[in-house]
Amino acid sequence: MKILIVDDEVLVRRSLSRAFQSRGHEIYEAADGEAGLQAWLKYQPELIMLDVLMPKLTGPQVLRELGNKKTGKVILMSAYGGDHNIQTSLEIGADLFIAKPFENVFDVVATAEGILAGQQKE
Amino acid sequence: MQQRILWFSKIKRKARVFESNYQIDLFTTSDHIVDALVSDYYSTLLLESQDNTSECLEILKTARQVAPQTTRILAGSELSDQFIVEAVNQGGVFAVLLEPTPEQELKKVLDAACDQYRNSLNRKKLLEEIRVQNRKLENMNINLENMVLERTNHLESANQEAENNLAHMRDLTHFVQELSHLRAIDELLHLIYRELKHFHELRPPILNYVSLDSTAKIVSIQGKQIFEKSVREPWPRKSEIRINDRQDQKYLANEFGRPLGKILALPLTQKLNKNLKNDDPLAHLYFEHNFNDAEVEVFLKSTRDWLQPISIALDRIILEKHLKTTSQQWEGTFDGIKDPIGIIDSQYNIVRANRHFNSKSFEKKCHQTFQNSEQKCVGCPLEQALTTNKPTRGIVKRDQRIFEVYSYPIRFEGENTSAAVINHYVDVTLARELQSKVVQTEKMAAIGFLAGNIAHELNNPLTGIRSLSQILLKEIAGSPQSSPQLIDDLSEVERAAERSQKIIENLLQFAKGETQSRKLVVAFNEVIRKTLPMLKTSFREHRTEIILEPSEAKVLVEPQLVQQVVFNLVNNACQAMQDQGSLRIESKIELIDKKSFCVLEVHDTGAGIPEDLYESIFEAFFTTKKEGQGTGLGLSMSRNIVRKFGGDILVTSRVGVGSKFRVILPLVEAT
Repeated sequence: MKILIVDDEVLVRRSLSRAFQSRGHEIYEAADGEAGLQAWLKYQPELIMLDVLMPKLTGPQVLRELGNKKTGKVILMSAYGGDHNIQTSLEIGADLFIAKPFENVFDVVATAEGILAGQQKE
Repeated sequence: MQQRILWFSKIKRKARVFESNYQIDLFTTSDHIVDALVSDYYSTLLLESQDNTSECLEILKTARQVAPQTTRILAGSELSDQFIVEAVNQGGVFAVLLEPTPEQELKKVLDAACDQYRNSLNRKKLLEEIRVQNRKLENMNINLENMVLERTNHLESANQEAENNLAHMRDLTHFVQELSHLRAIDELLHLIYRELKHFHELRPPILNYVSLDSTAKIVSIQGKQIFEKSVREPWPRKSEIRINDRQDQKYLANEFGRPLGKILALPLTQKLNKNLKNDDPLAHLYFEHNFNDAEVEVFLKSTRDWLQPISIALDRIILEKHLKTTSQQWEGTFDGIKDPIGIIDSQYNIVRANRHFNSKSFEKKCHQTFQNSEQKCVGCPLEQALTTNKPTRGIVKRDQRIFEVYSYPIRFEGENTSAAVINHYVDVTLARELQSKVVQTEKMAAIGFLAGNIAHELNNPLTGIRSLSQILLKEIAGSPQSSPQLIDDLSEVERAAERSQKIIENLLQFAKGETQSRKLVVAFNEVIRKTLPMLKTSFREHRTEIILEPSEAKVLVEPQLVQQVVFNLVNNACQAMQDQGSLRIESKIELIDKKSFCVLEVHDTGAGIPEDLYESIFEAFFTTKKEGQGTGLGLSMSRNIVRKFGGDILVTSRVGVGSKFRVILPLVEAT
């Protein structure tokens, strides 16, 4: 599966990449919103791990820019709850919201794979 | 002058012998003797007795009558005793000469007789003189008596008049005295009527006057009752006494709606009423009466002197009533104000004070009244206000309530410096509590904002660190490069990241504050445990001992708020210890008044708190910390929070040894 990870924190990208790669997925990374948007359009990933607060474009802004060109499943991630939660994430076109920090990165991977398998879970 | 002798004798010879000594008129007949005696002054009548003794006696008697002073001598040769007796008794004979009488003898007798005459004459003259003098004296006496009588009468009438005047003056004085005690118009009318009760043909007085608000009023009494009403029609305006004036009668009849008899109108002056205009009516006393002309005279005479005192009394009553109303308005105003307000002199004596100054009692000194204390209130700005002569503010406490005191210096008339102040006490307890809550809320909001930002910034890398540690741990398991040391190190990294996350989570929750929290049943220890990590920097410098109650007892609180309390107490304890001290944090369960409480004790070895400050430290904005170290809100907020959940904070301390703060919260029994 093609998975795009958009997050400005290098350690987050790296840990998620390694976890997904170990599961045999094809990983693309982007360090800000704009790069994320380009990568999304370019690679047409099946799953996007999208951070909320990033330089240039925020996660929700990326979603808005994509509009109907959006492909794949979207998991919105945020360390600072702020205005975003599961409900608002669904409204702006995401499929799931995961709060940072993760308790266990493998649980996140399992959740993501669940969504890819079409079994949405919260 | 020679003495004259009337000698009645028949023998001339004998008489001749004495002619050298006396002027002798010799009568030989008795015919003209009496006439001679009457017309001339004879010293002596010498009567030589004849045979006819009765004639002789007759001459003697007549001579005695017509010329009583003339000495009568009887001479004869053969004089009977009876005749001599008769001559002596009836004729008043001076001497009887028995013939023949020697010449010498005769002469002696004649001399004696002449002396007798002279004496007699002198006596007569003297008597005459005395009589005249007496008469004069009598006249003078009579005159004097008349004068005295007249004078006495005069004096008596003057005295009577004076007494009358005195009585009148006494009556007037008494009347004026009574007037001076009057407090109301009706009393004035009653007094006037009472003083005039002896005029039977007189009805109770009617008064009209102008009050200070320029309304014309008419007042009358009937029995004990008073009738007063405002008048629109001005009454006849003449400043003279009017007797049975038709206009007065008509005016009063209109006012009372009934016919009135004859009217006496006495004008009064209202001098104190400054509002009176020139065309305003004068005050009057009216009397309905049934006097005849003479009685009117008497009445006017006895009341004439009263008009001025009555006018003055009327003025005074009106003014006093006005002043009373005005002062009552002010009093009402000040008593209506809920803040204590008083005029206090420089010696802290209350000159005046409103009701809320102290509802219980008024003492002489303001602090006695306000604080029930013999000492002046701590923080009172009075002295400073008097020294600087400027309004000054201070803070004074009473019964756990805080008052802002404003001292406004006031100057009494005729004094150069302010001798007193108006002290206005404003209860700011609630305002301060609110203010402290606002400050605390703002503080927590600021911390929340900051914590949120930091949390985000830290959570991102922490998420990466932790996740990467987890991945590495998984990858290394079973790998040939693996070693227990490596696994242990990685685990340590992962746990450190986790701990950091927890601290950030706690910080976020702590900072959320009241706004989003609600009461939860939580383990008291849990609240303490969650808070302590945030304080690690605070007690890094001190020896710290933490003893938590093993039973994990629960309390019903808003955990974030109680966290703030724990934070405050521990932070204070750390700040109280200058050098390295020892801090002991202990939680336990205690039975207080048969109820179970969760107790947190925070002991420090700091400077300690004097006992008289035990209460003050819990007051908002009280702080002993340096600027920037504290707002003075921590303990007051903490106590408010704990009390809100049915608990309390208590302090015991010894100066130089340390302090112990105890938080108690009701224990919630596990269900």
